[in-house]
Amino acid sequence: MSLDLTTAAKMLGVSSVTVRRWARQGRLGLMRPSGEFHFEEKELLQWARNQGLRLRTSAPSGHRPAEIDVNSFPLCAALKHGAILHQVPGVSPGEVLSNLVELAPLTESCDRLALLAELQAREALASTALTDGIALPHPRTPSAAYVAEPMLVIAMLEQVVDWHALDGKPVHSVILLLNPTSREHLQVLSRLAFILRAPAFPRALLEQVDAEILSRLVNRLEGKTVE
Amino acid sequence: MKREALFRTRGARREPWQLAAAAVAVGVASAGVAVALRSGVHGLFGALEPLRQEWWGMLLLPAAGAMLGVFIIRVLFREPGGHGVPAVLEAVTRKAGHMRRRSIVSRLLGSLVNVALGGSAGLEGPIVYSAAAVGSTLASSMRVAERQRVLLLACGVAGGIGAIFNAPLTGMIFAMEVVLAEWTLGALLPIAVSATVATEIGRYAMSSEGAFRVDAVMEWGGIDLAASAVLGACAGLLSVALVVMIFAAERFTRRLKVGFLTSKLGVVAGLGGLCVGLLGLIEPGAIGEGYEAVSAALSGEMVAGGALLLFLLIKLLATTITLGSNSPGGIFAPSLVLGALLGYGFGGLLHWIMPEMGFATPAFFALAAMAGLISGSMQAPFTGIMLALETTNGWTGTLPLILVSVLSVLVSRTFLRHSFYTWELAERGELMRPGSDSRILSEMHAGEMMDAESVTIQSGQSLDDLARLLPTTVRNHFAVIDAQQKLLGMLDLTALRGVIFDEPLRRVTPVDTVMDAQVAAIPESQDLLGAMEVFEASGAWVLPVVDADGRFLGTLSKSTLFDRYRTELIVQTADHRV
Repeated sequence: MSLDLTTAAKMLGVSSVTVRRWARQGRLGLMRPSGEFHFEEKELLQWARNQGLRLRTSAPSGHRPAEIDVNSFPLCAALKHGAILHQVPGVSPGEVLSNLVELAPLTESCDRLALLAELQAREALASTALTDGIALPHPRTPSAAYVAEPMLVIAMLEQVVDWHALDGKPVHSVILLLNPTSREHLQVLSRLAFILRAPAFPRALLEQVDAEILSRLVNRLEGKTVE
Repeated sequence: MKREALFRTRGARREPWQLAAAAVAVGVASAGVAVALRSGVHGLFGALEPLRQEWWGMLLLPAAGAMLGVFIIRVLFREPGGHGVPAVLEAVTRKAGHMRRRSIVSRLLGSLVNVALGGSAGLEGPIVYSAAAVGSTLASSMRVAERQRVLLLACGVAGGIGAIFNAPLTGMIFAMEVVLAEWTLGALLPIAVSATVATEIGRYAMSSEGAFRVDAVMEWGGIDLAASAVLGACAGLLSVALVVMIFAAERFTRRLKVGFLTSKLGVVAGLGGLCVGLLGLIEPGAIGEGYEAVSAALSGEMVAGGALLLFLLIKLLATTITLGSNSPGGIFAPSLVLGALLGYGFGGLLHWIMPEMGFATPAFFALAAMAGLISGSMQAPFTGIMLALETTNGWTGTLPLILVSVLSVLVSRTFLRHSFYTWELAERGELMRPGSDSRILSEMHAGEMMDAESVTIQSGQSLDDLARLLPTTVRNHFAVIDAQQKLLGMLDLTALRGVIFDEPLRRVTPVDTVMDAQVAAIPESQDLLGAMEVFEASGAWVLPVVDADGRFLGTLSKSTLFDRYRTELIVQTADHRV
């Protein structure tokens, strides 16, 4: 198959100016009488292999800084996979976590006991209490063993619990954060940072507003972070 | 304006003289190798002549030789098989000229037995191998730099070829064209010294004549130039056929070699030898080195005709089987024999078709085709031209020889990307010529380029701890390690931007939770070529470097890598000493 300059450049992952220079030097391709260059696909592939050039069939994936697509709402998506719970019982962090894992909309394949053990181990490392009565429990290592997609479970507690917070305040609401990868964890976390800073969100939690209103509030606040 | 110094520094002044002195020693030793092998083979071949008169002797001797040769090399000396020149090229390109001491004798004995008992191969490959090992070993004992060891290795090659053919220029050119693949003044001097010394010794020890007897008239006219052009194309095609056939046979044998019996004891080589023996029953000339045929051709004593064509085909087959079944021996001699047969037949044909045109003698065309075959199979035109000129004293035939050689290489390169010698290395991706990009990349390692001052953070610490580290460093990438320094993952500050400024959040976020645990780590011993591939595959700009136990050593960034590569490129492509 005959390729033009732009396609050849795209395949080699370099600019078309570069490919034109190589072609002018006679390293690859042929010049048409019109002055345009064209490249035989088979020859180009062989040439690239000989030079040890990697062909771009798809964009390189993997390690990339976790950039947030401005048109995506990771927090809302995570909440949609999760749940908003009221009156979750428990008198200690351990009990609350145990109930939370029971109530969370996890799939059948998820090993709830292992998840609970991880959450408790994480609490043992250091408290996950933020400020002003909100805790953010999460496993130490994000794992696809528990969830296939980010999941946010917002739980307003039946009674306040001493979560060993630095500011000493008892915890009234818990946000359980489950992520398959650290990259997604970071995305959700950075949106969460915005929302927690807005006074309306902690206030809504404290007032134990109903699920419909709370989820609309999260929607609205996350929309604002984009603006 | 910068003032360019006129005089060399003292160290640089001494170097050429030291090298020349070492080259004398290498020349003497490599001549010894050549003389020992040549006289050994001739003695043994002659002593076995009565046996070959019997049909069973003719049939079985090559098989015995091949098996014994493989046994000597593979079992006694524990070396890889084959004809040896690719191993020499590999030593030059990949091993800084290092060869083992035992390599001096291993192939010498192996090919001595194989060729003397009738293997259809040459001694030059083994001589190149042994002489190269001589040069390398001497260099190692003198503790010279790598570059000088490679040079002395090439000196050994030049000496060995010079001595066996009584052709110093051929030795020099072969060493530079094929072995070093570079033409530099610094290399020329010691190589010339070694080739001269070795040739002189070879003359005393063997004979002062050329390697071949030349009795025929070698005069030529304008019409012969036209004929030479045709002959050049034929020689090119024949050398392509030779190389392709040997490699096809080799691939076939490689698939057969499974157990100990076949690979170590040379059963395959033995079977090959049996086939060669069978061919020898039909055409005794195809057995052994075959230089009698060359001398006969160059003296005009052959009979051109159908028998000659049969001889050529049988020799081609015998060589293919011998070298393709991996019994020790080279392609030099078979190329010369095939060339002589092709050229003689070609000349004979011309005289038969157009007797009135007054073409040169068939012997003249035999000479030209010899040059053509060497040039074509090695893709080394100078070596072919020089060898034909020096060994036959045929200096008047320079012009047609150049024509045939160049055309032969042209045809060979039209079809084949690599020569007989370089194919094996290229197939393994290890053909790296001096100063080439891949050569430089392969000599630099991740360990020498990494940033060892990288900041680490213990697993279990929080992003808050990381935030406190930030004012003390200018770096953006942090390694998360455990108590044993093992790398667990990497943190990229740019990815943390959304969280790192929120004090309560970063306090409850352990670094483990947000690190990239799947990050590709580069082993410290990884060469630059491999490291670039890791960068390319991961799309990352900064990657961690780890030791063999997975302990974190430092970070390597793509920009450092390019910077250091450029520095290395300048150093490697510059003239060596000031």
